Amino acid sequence: MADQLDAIVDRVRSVTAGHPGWAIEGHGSKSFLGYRDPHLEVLSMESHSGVINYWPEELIIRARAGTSLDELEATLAASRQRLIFEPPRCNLKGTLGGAIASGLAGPRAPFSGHIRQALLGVQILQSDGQVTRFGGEVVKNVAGYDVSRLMIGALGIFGPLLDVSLRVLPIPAWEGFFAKGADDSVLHALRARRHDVGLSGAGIVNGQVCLRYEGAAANARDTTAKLKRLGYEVVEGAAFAALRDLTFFTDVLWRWEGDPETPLTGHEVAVDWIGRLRYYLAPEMMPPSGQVWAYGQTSPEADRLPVVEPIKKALLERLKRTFDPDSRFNAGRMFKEF
Amino acid sequence: MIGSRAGILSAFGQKRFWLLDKRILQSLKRLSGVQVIDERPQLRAYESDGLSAIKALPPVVVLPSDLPSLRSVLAIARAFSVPVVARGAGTGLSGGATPHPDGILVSLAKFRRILSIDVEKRRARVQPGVTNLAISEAVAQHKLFYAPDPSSQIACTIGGNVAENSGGVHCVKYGLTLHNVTGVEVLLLSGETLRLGYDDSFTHQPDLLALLHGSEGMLGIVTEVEVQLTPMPEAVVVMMAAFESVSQAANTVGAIFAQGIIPAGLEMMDRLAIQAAEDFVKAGYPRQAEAMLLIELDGTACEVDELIEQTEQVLAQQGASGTAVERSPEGRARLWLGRKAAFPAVGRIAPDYYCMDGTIPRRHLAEVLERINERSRHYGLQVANVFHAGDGNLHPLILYDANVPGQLDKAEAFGADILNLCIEFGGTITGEHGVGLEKINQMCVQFDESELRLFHGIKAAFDPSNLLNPGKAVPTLSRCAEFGAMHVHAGQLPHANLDRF
Repeated sequence: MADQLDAIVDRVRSVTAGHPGWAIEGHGSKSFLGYRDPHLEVLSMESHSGVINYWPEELIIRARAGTSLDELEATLAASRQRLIFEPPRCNLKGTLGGAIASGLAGPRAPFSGHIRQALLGVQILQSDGQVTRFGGEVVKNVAGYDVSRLMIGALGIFGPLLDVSLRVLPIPAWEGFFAKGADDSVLHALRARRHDVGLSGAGIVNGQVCLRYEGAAANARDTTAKLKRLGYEVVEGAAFAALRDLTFFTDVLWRWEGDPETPLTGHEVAVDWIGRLRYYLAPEMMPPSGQVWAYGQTSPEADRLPVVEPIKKALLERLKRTFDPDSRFNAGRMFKEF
Repeated sequence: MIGSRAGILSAFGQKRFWLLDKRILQSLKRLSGVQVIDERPQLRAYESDGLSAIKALPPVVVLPSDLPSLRSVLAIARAFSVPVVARGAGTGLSGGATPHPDGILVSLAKFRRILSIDVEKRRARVQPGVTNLAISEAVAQHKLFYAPDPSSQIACTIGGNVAENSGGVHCVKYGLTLHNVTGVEVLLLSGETLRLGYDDSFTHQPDLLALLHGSEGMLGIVTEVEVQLTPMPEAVVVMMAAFESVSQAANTVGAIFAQGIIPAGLEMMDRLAIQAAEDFVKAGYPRQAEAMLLIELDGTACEVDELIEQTEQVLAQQGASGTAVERSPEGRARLWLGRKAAFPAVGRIAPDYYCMDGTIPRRHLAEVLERINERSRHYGLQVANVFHAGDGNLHPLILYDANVPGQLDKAEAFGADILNLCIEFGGTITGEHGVGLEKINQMCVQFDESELRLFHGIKAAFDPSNLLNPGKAVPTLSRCAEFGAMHVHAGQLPHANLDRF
């Protein structure tokens, strides 16, 4: 736990002509996202870590970008609180900054558990060494454009996050996991539960429908009785740990996101978000239409993102020029051109 | 309104009397599907939004009936380099929809169709002129509702809600507009259409959908909104608790959250607000209390029982008295009645009031409210507090009489002090009403030059010619220099030992 702000600012400020630009890195656990240009110099944020402010009764935590997710979540758990979203810890690693920049959120995302629900403020470093702050430690805040949330999924192209403020929530009094073996209507069985009260995760792992419910202790009995009647067994939470941390991802993984009613192809490695998010080992195994992202398959020539409409891409390019006029940070990570 | 009125209007430039280029008017009138208003009496209806202290007569108002006709209006604006201001119901409180005295005011009043309701997906696609409440009414038969509920919900439009990222009483649990919108279609000044979210709303790429929320009509004109619908809770209860001191009530707010309770709504009123409301609507509020809390809890029936028990424990520990629990719809409505009537109730006890909107971290509530009272004594102006305590979103109402010379200036100075206090305590100048014209000077206090530069850069990325709602929300750097604001960063006031007020 250390404040390395001055050292990072000095380093960025002191570049001379001919510097190749910076590749921002935390634990390096999300290197499978986008293209990492090997010519860039690594700007490590890992040592800039530690919780800055945490008042449990505020339900708000502010920590430096290099803070490990494990440390952050342990801090929260000590006060019986948790992150609203479930950022993947790939190979059990990951920093807070990387969690925001990657834009990845786990099983709770469709149940008001996306990063957008949690992020309140950021501090961003500009390429000239200026430190800028947006948002803050309050939930209701409409002064100025919402620059903080623009950083979600930005893969660092607008500059390194220095610190991050998040809204957090109490750990619910009860959390229950349920599973049911597959038959040919496994997707139908999954979809049938989508409007259940208290549902906070719904996917298919190892061919089984896996459900997670949470809420007041008083809800446990009724929910459990109802699911048992439907043929579900009470299980441990391993399936949701896998869905969150992508434990089935080794070298290559194809992420498919699309219409949740789309029939399964039978080649799913895992299914999350009530059928909307699916993982495959090869592109030919996926359903035809949907947003596709190849994890760990990047080359200088390949598209890094699912296809982005030209107007959106043009806007992102103009925003990139606003935040990072000389393209010093993560050049080429998200788009070939900038 | 902060600062002198003339000062604020100068954001629009010096030209005060303007004759519309006849060719513009002719071009607009030639468009099919566009109603054009250019007669002075009818234009008067559009001269301000909810911030009626700032008025500017628009030279022309147009009401396009569909997307192609709106696009044609923008083409004319581009061709003649005329500013365009979009307007919904005009209920905004910060002057975000104040007309530009040299520009075209575009009313989206004709975009008022609910396009589709998908009960299965719990989403509704609507045009921007649909009112907030109309969405909830349209889906009530399916036991669904649209959660954000600004107090103007009967009149305010969903397009305006997106532009302002509106809040409301229930956003402490259900989130702001941006947490309940899954997609928006936006027309850029260039005439290009941008669709954000919809089925891509979780896909990881920079969150432009969030960026559009609260952008105050500066980046694009919202032409369609897809909202998330929330299932109505099985059980709802409203609790009322009275306190002998403001700080006791303020500390109870933190204690409720510390207990792990997330109320659906948590509102606070002080003595002046309680008495004004009680005199006005007889809601059964404790007239002798220094402060009271209204706490709404919802969930499954057994969940709510558990929450009531936990909340009652917290209230007892904090020394609350006069606790009431209302489960019936009538009882709940009665308890809410006084809160909802609080602004007009305060309006009855003073000729004028000025409503502030800063937000602070909840832990500082007691101290900030005490500091506000201290400023109240300093200026000799009463202040009534009625606000979203659960969010730390203050709405101090400064009472004054505009007919007494000097009182308006005092009220404005008092308001500026309150906003500076919010920044000093790590908060923000606006929680839900927006910056618009009203708080534009305070933006110079909350943000430094490099941050403001980035804001201008974002604006230019979407609207390079700066024709869309120019002069609002983000002050120019020269304006800040003129205003002479002292930037307070992260609560670090220079010479913090000196009394600033």
